[in-house]
Amino acid sequence: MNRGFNRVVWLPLLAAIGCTRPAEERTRRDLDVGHAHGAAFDVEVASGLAAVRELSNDRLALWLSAPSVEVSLVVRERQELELYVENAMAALELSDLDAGGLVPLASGAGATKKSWQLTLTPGSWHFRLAAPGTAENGGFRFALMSDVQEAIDRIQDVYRVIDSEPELDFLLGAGDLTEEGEADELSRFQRELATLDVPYYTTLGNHELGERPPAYQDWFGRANFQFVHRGVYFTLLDSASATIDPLAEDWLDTWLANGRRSVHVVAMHIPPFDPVGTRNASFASRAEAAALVARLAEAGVDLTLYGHIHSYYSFENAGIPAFISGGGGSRPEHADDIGRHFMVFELDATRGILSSKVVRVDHGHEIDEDE
Amino acid sequence: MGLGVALRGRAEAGSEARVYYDHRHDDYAAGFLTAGRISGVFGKFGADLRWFFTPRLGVLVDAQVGSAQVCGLSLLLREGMLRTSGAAP
Repeated sequence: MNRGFNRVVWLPLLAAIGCTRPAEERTRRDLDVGHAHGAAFDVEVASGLAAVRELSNDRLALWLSAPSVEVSLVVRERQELELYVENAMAALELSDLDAGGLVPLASGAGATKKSWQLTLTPGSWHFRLAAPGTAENGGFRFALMSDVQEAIDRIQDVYRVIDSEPELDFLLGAGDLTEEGEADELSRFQRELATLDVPYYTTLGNHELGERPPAYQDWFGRANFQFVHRGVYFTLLDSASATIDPLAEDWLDTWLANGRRSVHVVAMHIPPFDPVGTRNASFASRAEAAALVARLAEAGVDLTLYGHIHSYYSFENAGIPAFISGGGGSRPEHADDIGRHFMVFELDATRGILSSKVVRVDHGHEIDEDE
Repeated sequence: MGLGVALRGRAEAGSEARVYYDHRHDDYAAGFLTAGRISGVFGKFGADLRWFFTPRLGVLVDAQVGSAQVCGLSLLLREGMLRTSGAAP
């Protein structure tokens, strides 16, 4: 009886443990990012491009996920409000605020923190947080760094080298900031970022999934999102469960259409295909992976960026230049001698990808990929 | 990797049941998805039961759990001579 019972039960049990949409819950949570309701006012961040880290009657704290963010407030009673913004570009300004009072406050510790004192009367207010020139086409540089995990203790070495790179607008991340994604790890990761001179826009990796539900979005915002910087589209996708949730696939239709006529960069943690294969570090379904990269290629995506594999690889998927860069400090792949590293890209909305290079933190030299 | 048993008694020859793990990620069921950190690493798990209730007719019931959960029911018809135990070839 017992053996017969076991035979019948084990497969449905596996079916229950497994799931066809492991990312569904957090993808739906993306829709809540940037929306908050308080006693005195409501906040809505356009496209969820900032996490509301604190909301009280006199203070609103935002963690930005993009260089340019639009915020709407519905104010119910006259308020003196401190707007505190973290993960901001150094030149970030508050504009289009037609409220009565606006007093910039001294920045907090670090170049990426800003704050203003606002006087708000009842009604609706809309404002924009952006550095001058971010809405105009032009050339710029950004860096890519992923897979820090257990190496938060040593991340300051990496940040020092990133800070020494000239004219970086921001650092892009492809996930695995922490080992387990617990709240104290995420908090610590944010504190460590205070020494970085540029903001860090990132999605999550499988190592942020140690808690259920993951705390990641409360700290860093959406897992799937798109932003535009100097005419270049950046789409970050949540592939932390080795799949893209169908809801995010739907959003991708719009995001691919947005970027079709410009330079478009797509980043995610787990690559659709593992170019080496030793770790099977790719999507769970090769069919889904093939369908995704075919969509990206058909939409004219110019560059794909991945993490997850703790090394550096340059390859192509469906003809799109692709890089895996997992050099944030987590245990490196055996015998590849790449070590801790980050990448630097130079882009222009009209001229495309101008150059890319790998900066090795511990070896003190660069690998020029394409200059 | 799998474990199977040949069925006897009221089942005709060729009847068998098995449970298995298949590391392939490139078929319809593909790799196993979970909510945790190791999603996608494993391949699919499956089970099937092939039962011939006459020497020529049978059914196949199969199920796979991977990225997709797949189940199937097939009617089996086999042609040709069946060798019976002890008979000359």
